[in-house]
Amino acid sequence: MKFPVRYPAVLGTSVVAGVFTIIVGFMLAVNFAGRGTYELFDSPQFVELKAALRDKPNDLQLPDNLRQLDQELRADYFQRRRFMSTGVYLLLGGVILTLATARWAAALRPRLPQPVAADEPVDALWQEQQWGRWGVVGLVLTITLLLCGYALRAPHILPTAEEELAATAPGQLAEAGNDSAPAPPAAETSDSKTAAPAAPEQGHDVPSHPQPAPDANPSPAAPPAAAEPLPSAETYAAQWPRFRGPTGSGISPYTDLPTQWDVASGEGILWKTELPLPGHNSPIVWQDRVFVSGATDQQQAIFCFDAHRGELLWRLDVPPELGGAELEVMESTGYAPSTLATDGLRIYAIFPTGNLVAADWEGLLVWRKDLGVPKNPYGHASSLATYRDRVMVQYDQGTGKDGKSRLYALDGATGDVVWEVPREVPSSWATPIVIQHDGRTMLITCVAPWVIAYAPEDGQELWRAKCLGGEVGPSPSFANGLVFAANETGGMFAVRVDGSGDVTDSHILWMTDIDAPDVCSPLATGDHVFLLSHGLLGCFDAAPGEEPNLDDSREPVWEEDLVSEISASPSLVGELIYLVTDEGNVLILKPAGDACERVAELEMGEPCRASPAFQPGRIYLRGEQHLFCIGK
Amino acid sequence: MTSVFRLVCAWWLLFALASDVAGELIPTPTFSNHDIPTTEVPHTDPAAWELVHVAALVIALSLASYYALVSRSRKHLLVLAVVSLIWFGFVRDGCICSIGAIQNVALALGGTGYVIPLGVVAFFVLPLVFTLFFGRTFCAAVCPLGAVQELVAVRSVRVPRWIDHALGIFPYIYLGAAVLFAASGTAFLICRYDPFVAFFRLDGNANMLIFGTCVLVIGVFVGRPYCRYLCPFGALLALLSRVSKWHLRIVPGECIECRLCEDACPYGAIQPPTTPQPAEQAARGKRQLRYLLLATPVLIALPAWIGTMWSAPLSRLDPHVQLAEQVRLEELGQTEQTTDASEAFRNTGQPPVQLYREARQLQQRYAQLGGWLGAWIGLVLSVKLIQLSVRRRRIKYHPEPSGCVSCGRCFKSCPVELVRLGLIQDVSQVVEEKPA
Repeated sequence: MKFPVRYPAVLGTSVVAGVFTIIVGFMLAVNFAGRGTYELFDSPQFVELKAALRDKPNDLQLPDNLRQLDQELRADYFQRRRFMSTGVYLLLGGVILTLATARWAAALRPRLPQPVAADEPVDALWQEQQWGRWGVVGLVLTITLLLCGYALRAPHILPTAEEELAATAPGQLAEAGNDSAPAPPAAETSDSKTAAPAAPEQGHDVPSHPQPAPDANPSPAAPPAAAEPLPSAETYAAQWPRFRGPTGSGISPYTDLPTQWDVASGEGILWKTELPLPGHNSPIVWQDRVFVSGATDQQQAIFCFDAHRGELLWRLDVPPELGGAELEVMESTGYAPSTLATDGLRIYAIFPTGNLVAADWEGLLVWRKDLGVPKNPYGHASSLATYRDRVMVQYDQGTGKDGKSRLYALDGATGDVVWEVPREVPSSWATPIVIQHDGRTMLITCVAPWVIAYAPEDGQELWRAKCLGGEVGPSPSFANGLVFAANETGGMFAVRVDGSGDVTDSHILWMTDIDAPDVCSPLATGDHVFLLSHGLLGCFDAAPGEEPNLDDSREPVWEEDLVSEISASPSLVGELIYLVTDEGNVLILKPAGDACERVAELEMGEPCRASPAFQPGRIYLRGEQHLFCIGK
Repeated sequence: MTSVFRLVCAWWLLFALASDVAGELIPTPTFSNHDIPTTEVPHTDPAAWELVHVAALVIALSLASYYALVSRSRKHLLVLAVVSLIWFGFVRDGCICSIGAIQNVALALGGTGYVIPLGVVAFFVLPLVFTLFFGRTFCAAVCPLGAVQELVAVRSVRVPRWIDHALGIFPYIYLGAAVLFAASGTAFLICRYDPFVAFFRLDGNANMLIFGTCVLVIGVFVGRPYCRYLCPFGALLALLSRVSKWHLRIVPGECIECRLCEDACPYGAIQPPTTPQPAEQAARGKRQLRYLLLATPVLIALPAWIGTMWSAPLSRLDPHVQLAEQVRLEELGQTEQTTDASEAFRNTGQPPVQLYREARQLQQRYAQLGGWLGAWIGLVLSVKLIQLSVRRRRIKYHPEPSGCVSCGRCFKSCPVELVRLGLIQDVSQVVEEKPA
C-alpha cells in the first residue's frame, strides 16, 4: 500500500543524486584535465619570465616577479589538488546514493518473470551452440588480426642489426662495451705484484691465454677493431679465469699458498660464504671477484663474490629455457656442472639446459643464447673456454650419427656465432683448452674416439688422433709440446701437437691403460703426468719416446691409494699436488722420486667435487654448501 | 604528518627543479625557521597484519559459503559483499587481491628468484579451495571487484547466450597472457588494467578512472561485465567450480519446473532443460565434433606460429624495451617529449648502444613468448569449440556451475523457496498446477 507513495520519491532521489554525481564527475574531469605538476614550468608566463631573466640577469625586479608567479602557480596547483580530493569524496557519496536509491526503486517495482511459451519448438541450445561457435571464432580472429596488424604496422624503432647499431651510434660500440663491462681495475696490491705468476717451471711452451701470439697473423674472422680492449696476456695469466686456471692445466702460477688450515676453528679460513644454489662447477677468479654458478631444475644463476670478504656482490638469474624439451641430468652432474669462463671483459656461463649467457662486470645480462637442450645421457658438463674475446663451446651430444654435435666460437660481446663446426661425434663432457706451440694456436678437444685440434680463429681442423674410447669426461692437458688426453675406457695418450691431418700413427708417442681416469683430468707437469682414477693416483714419466709408439704402454713410476673417491681434478702448487676428495678432504702430497709423501690432510667439513682456484696467498674452494677462501 | 612531509618534499623538489631550469639565476631562498625533515622509511604493516588479512579472508569465504549454500540468504550475501568491498577494497587499497595474486604465483614459479609471501599464496589458494568445495562463493560476496559490480547491477539486461559464449573466452586468453608476462618478469598486466583499484585508492591516472567508470556504467545494465568477460581469476574459479563438491541450488527441494527463475539471473547462468534433438541434427553435431577434434592440432599450431610475429606489440609492454625505444626516438629527434625513465637513463651518462642491444635481445625473447601465447589462444579456442559441440541433456533448471557466481538472486524467484521461508503456504499460491 505504501508503494505508490514511496516509489516516485525514491526514484526522484536517485535521479537527483545521479545528476549531482554527473555534475561532480564533469567538474572533476575538467579539473583533472587542467592539472599537472609540469604545468608549473610550462606556463607561458613562467617560460617568458625565465627567458627574460636570462636576457637581463641584472634586472632585480624579474626574480621577484618570477617568485611571485611561482607562488601563485603553486597555490593554484594545491588548490586543484584540494578540489580533487573533496570532489572524489562527493563523487563517491553521489554514486553510492544513486545506486542505493536506484536499487531500492528497482526492488519496489520488481520485474515480473516472463517465461516464454513452454512448447516453443525452437531448439534454443542448438542455436546457441551454432552461433556461439561463430562468435568464439570471430573473437579469436579479431584478437589475432589486431595483434598481427599492430605487429605489421608497428614501426621498427630500434636498430635491427649490429652494423646499423654501430652506424647510427658511431663511436659508441666500444664505449658501451667499456661502460657495461668495464675491465676490472689493474692488480692493486703489492702482494699480488710480488706474487706474480711463477715462471713456467713445468715446462709450458707458452701460456694459452686469449691474447693473440705476437707473430699470429690477423685472421679475416677476427673481431672488428672497435671491439673492447682485452686485458693484457700478463693480466690474464695472473688470474684463474676458467676451469683449471689460465692454461687449463690445473697448475697454480703462485706458490705461496697455505698448506695448513682448520675449518672447524676457522684458522686459516679467510671467509666462508653459503652458496645460494647448488652446483659442481669450480670457482673462477678475476682480481677481486670470484664467480660460480648454481642451479636447480627451476633456477639457474651466476654469482659474484667479493674475493676479499666473501660477500655476494651480485646474482644474475638465468631463467631456464628448455624450448619445450625435457631435461634429465644425473645427480652427480647436477644442474650447474660447467665452470664459467671470463676474458676479463665479461663472464660466460652455460648450463645443461643449453642456456648460454654473458654477464658484464656489474651482473647485467649482456646476451643470452639458447643452444637447445643437448641430448646427453648425464647432462651437459663441458666447461667454457675463451680465446681472445670469443667463447668456445664444446657442445657434443647424441650418438655421433645424428650429427647434432657442434663446436662453437661465439663473439663475446654479442653472442653471435663467429664460426661453428659440426662434429660427427657422440656426447662428451671434456672441456677444451687453448694452447700455443711454435707460433700456432690450437683449440684441443677430446671426444671418443678422437683428440682433435682446431684453429680457434676460423674453426679449421688442424689434426686429429684416434685413441680414446667410450665416454670422455677428463679434459686434456698440455705440457712440453704434448697433449695428454685420457679417459677410462681408452687409457691415456701423449700426442705431439705439431702434426696435421690424421696423426694417429705418427704423433702418439706413448700411452698407458693403467690408472686411466673416469672424471679427473690429467695433471701434466712437464716431467711427469699424474692420473687420478677412483682414488688411485698414478705418476708416470712424461718423457717422450724417440719414435711414435702406440705399443709403448707405460707403467706408473709410483701409485698411491688415497682410499677416497675423487671427482675434482688434481692441481699443482709448486712441488705439491693438491687433491680434493668427494668427502671433503684436501690432500696435499709431495712427489718424491719413486713415491710420494703426504704433507697434509685437511677436512673441509662438507663434500667437495669442484677443483680449487689459486690466487696469491689464497685458495678458493667450492664445497657442497659453501664457498671457502683459504689464506694466510 | 605524512601530508606535511610530502608538501615539504614537493617544495624542495620544485625548487631544485626550478633552480636547475633557471640555472643559478634564482638564488635559493634561505629557510631560517625551517627544520629540514629527516628521511623516513615508509612504514609497513607488521607481519601480524598479514595473518589478520588471511583470517579475514577465511572468515569471509566461510560466511559466503554458508549464506549461499546453507542459509540461502541473499540479504546476508549483500551485506557481506558491502563489508568485503570496504575491507578488501577501500581499507586494503585493493591489494593484494586474489586476482592479482595469480601474477605473484606465476612470477615465483617462473624462476625469476622472486620469493612470494605466504599471505599472497593464501589469497591465491584459499578462494580456489573454497570453490572446489562450495562453488564460486568467493565471487558472490568476498571479492571486492565482484562486490562493487554486484552493487551496481541495478537493471541488468540479458546478454544473448552466443555473445556470452564468445566473450566468455576472453578471461582465459587474458589469464594466459597475464601468466606469461608475470612469469617472464615483464609486467603485471592484471594490476595494470585493474578497473577498480583507482576507486579503492581514491586516486589513479585518467585511463584507470575512465576504464573503471566505463565498466561500472556498463555494469548497471550488463551484470558483472568484468567478472564474466575479463577476470582471469574468474576463469580459474569457473574451471574449479565445474567439479565443486557442493554448489548453490536454485530450488531447495524438488524443482516443479514453474520457469519463474528463468529470468532471475542477470548473469545468464541459469540453464533451462534441453529439448529432444532431431536425429539429423544430432548426426550433424557429431560430424562437426569429429572435424573439430581432427582440426585441434592445427588450431593450436597455427596461432602458435602466428604468435611468433607478435614480438613488437608484446615487447612494448616491457619497460626496458619502452625505455630503449623512447631513447632511440629522442636520439633520432622524432619526439621532443622525454619521460622520467629516459631522463634518468641520460643522467647515468651511459651511451644507449647497450640499451638498444639488450632491448633487441628482449624482442627476440618476446617472439618466443608470443608463440606460447598463440598456442594458448589456440588451445582455448579449441576447447571452447569442442565444448560448444557437445550437447549435454538437462532435465531441470539449474545454475551452470562455471557461470554461477552464487549471488543468490534466484532464491526468491522459486516458489519452493518461498514455501521453505514460510512466505507462502503452498506453491499453488503463485503457480498454477500443471495439467496432468
